[in-house]
Amino acid sequence: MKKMPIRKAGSIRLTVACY
Amino acid sequence: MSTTAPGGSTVVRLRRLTMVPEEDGVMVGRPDIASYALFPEAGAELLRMLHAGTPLPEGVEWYEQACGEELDVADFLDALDGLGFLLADGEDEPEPGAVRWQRLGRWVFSWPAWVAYAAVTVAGVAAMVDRPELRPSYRNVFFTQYLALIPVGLLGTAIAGILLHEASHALAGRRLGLPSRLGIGRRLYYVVAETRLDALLSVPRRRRYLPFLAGMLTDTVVCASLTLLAWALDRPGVPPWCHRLCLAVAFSCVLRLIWQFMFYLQTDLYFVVATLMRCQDLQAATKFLVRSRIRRVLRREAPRPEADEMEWSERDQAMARWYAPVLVAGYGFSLASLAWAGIPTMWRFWSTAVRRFTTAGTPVGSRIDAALFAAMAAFEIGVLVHVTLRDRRARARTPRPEGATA
Repeated sequence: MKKMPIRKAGSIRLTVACY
Repeated sequence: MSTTAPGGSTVVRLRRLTMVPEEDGVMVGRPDIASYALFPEAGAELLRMLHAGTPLPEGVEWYEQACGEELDVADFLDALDGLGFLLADGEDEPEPGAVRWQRLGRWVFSWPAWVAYAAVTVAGVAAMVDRPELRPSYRNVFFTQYLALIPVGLLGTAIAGILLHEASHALAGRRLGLPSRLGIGRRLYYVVAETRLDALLSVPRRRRYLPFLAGMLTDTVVCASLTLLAWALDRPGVPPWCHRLCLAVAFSCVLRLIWQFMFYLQTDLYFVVATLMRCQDLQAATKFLVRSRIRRVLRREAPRPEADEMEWSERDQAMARWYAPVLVAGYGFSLASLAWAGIPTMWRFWSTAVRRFTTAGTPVGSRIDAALFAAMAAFEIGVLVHVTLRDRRARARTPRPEGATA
């Protein structure tokens, strides 16, 4: 019996630095 | 082996999911709660069958024939539940709500708007070429002789600039009907504003680039517009601080653009590069690789390779070997600049502030000044600590599948 290979995706966070 | 869904039914009720073919599987997800996972082709086909009403035992039988191996059904259903893909008994799928600002997003990225952006940018660059005093320079920061007004003016305009940058990411996503969320995050020791746009995983890769780059495009157009405005305001009858303030804000746009090139901090350009290289989670795969190598050098136990190797695609692992030196050099640069400039600066500020409080006879004005500084600096450090703890708690709540701890 084998697990289905499911990979959770990384998140997309678009940033800008707060100076 | 049991092939029944929760509640003993043989029909699995799935929520509305998006499916996008990727390099090594199919990205399946729910844009409304930003939950996505990469399924093997056969796994995605099984989801399609279940969504069409195929009973679970029949679907599983098809999968096992297609893959030539027995499926752990309980684990599969657990994974679907953990991702939020299952509808509970008696629960109906709500109608998808329209995302707000979709029309504005379409308008902001319509072709007449693009023509205007291009014209402004070309005119702005031409003005800089023609008039050296309009070119970006740190000297532009000093837009008034009143020193105290400089940080106040720059802070106010920076907040507006940051919101514009993030709003353009959001609008570029919303024109495609994708929801987004604005928040505060941390990159190493930088506090950042961030737009969470996981829903981009619901559209093909080529449609992700504009939302990735929208912030930098906005910074460029704003910089060019302010340069032209400075040129227009630099005439008799207009107070000189007006055109100088425009140039100061234009310079802060340039700084924002430069920051995006530190892509080891997962800036906008990181997502462009990682998507071009057809990676799913290059940063996490590379951090794991670096951590493993450090442990090997220190002769400590490697972090559970079998469980973790499953975590990233072969493509991510191959690219991680190339990206690892960049990541290490980048982090080294940032940490070195903190040690060389940041910490000594902070030390001097704080020691001066403390001395003013502990020295008898310090004027009241100086003490108020020191107290204001301490309050502002403590607030900023507090934000950094709060964001760090919040992210750590969130990670602890949502462990990755396959037992990894990236």
